[in-house]
Amino acid sequence: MKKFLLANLIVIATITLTYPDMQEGFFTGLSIALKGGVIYLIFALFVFPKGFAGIYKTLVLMHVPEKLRILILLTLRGIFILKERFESALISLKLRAPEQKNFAKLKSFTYVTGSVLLQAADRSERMERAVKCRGGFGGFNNSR
Amino acid sequence: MHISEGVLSSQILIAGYAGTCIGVGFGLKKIQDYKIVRTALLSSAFFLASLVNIRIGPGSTHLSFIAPVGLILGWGAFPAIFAALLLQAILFHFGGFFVLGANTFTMAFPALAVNLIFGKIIRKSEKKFTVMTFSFLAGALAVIMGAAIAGIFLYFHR
Repeated sequence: MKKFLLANLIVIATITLTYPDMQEGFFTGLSIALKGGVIYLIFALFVFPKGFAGIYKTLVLMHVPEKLRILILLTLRGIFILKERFESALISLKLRAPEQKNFAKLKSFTYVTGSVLLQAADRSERMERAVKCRGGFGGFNNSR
Repeated sequence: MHISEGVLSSQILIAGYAGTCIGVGFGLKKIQDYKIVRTALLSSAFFLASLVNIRIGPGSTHLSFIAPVGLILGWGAFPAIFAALLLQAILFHFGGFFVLGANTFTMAFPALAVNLIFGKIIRKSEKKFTVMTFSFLAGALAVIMGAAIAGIFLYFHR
């Protein structure tokens, strides 16, 4: 399989390099791959190893507004909450109706999505009240 | 509709960031403190929706919550979508940091436009059919506008 892929790669490279019209596309693709690789490498070396705390500190250093920083952190929290809810809803859907097809499947999927969104709205209200009880966002700073 | 890193030229990247900065600035000003939690949860719903792939025939597509986010949050859609896309770039390397501005503008501008066009009608209407029709139109328009903006960015990238 590897030999087959390598042979294909050689054939494609030969065709693109020998035809003048295709050379431009080949080099554009190559430059895109190089740019993307270098950009990701910079972030992988300097920012990612620090984890979320490091990324948050980077945001502080970049003078990102506090509201936006809180929003990013709460979004991260919300992702795990919603993921958990959505997965359990999908499992219950599969158990109740294992052989749904096409339109019926899409319809029930829509219902699940809608109910998860409503639950999320409810949860957000409770989270909001909890935040208020703890004193709001006042004093939410880099030290936390 | 994530534009990959390294595809767009620096001019387009700067233009994308400029548009996004204006939107996020206005959005942050308009979000009241007590609405941050709701914005964050919609942002995370937007994040998760784009990870759910649905097979349609031979191809596959993913959900996009552009219209619901726009209709509920208005200007707040800019910071919400920005946060979701930032986390996607960090966690899954979807899009990237340098194209974050362009990607945010591609998705947040249609959300805002949909809110300005259909928001009042949907909120004021009491008939179920009207709400359904305009919601469908809002969703369709948001997706078309998003694709059009991405197309414009890609057309002028060199």
